Amino acid sequence: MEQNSRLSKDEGDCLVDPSTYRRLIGRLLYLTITRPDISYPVQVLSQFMDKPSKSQLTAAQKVLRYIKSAPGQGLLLSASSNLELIAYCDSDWASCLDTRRSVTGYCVLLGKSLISWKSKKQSIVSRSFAEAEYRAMAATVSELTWLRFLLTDLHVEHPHVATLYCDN
Amino acid sequence: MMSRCDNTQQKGIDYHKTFSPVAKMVTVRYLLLVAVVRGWHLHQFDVNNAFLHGDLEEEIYMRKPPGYNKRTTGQVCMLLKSLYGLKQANRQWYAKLTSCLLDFGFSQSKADYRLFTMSTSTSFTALLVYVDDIFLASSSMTNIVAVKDCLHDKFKIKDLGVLRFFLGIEVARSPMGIHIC
Repeated sequence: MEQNSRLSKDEGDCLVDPSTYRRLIGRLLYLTITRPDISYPVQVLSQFMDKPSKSQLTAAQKVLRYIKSAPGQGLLLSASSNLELIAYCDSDWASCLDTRRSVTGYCVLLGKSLISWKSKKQSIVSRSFAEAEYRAMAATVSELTWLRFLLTDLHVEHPHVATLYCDN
Repeated sequence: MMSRCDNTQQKGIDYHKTFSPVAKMVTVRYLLLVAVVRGWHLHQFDVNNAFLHGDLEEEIYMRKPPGYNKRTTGQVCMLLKSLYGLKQANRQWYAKLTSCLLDFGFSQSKADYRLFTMSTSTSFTALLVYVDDIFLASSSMTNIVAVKDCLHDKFKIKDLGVLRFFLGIEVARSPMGIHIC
């Protein structure tokens, strides 16, 4: 997807046959299981499933070209990881042109391996940048809390507090 | 009353609840990571005709399947067990598998209901279920064999050996770690 491009609903002509677009996005969504790098564009593009337009299809095809340029990428779950949780989060304030809601992005590493990430539009309008940032942090912390429960279930000791890095 | 092609099940009569959880993908990556750090064995198998194993709580009748011509008129089949196409098929399979695993000695994770763990003083075994695809991570090969044997007795499973492909994801193990793509 083009950097700084802002796609919104009702732009340009609707596609005559939206099913191609929907199928493509469905496949991209599946690919995000092992490709965190495309989770942001897929998050944006999947909002136009009901009435996709030509410009949105072009953007989706650009994602395909990106994947084609570096196929077979995946994730390495390193055997030499220590098992400590580190999370990074950020938000993009009012980035949705249609609703003015913000987008949360986070990724969680266990040791040096990436295991959890998300790019998701926040459920409510934030009136300030800081408010959006706090919402992103809250979402990340709840993920971290859940992951700590999972660690306990696998009998993995996590004596330290999980680290969360955020953008101010 | 239902037949496989036209399901006319009514909520509250022929079925009640239909929700059935599947493992989160985060849990999959997470279990793989812990397994590779700890050097556990990873094995997988799937269950043959999984949805046929579920028990039914409701009384459900079905039109006779085509080709079944004995005593022609006025008869229908009453289902004793679950069938593919029933609304509750997935849920009943899940309930059956869960009770079987709990009987075996596994305990169910509260964080992801599709993760089951079992620990003894010498070994630890974790089992993750995605409908009928199951993968096992264990510090002991004996445990893996025991779990497979137990489930094979109850359900007939297809043993797929060492974990290579899970849900269309390639799992490649090397001394450095596990590469998933």
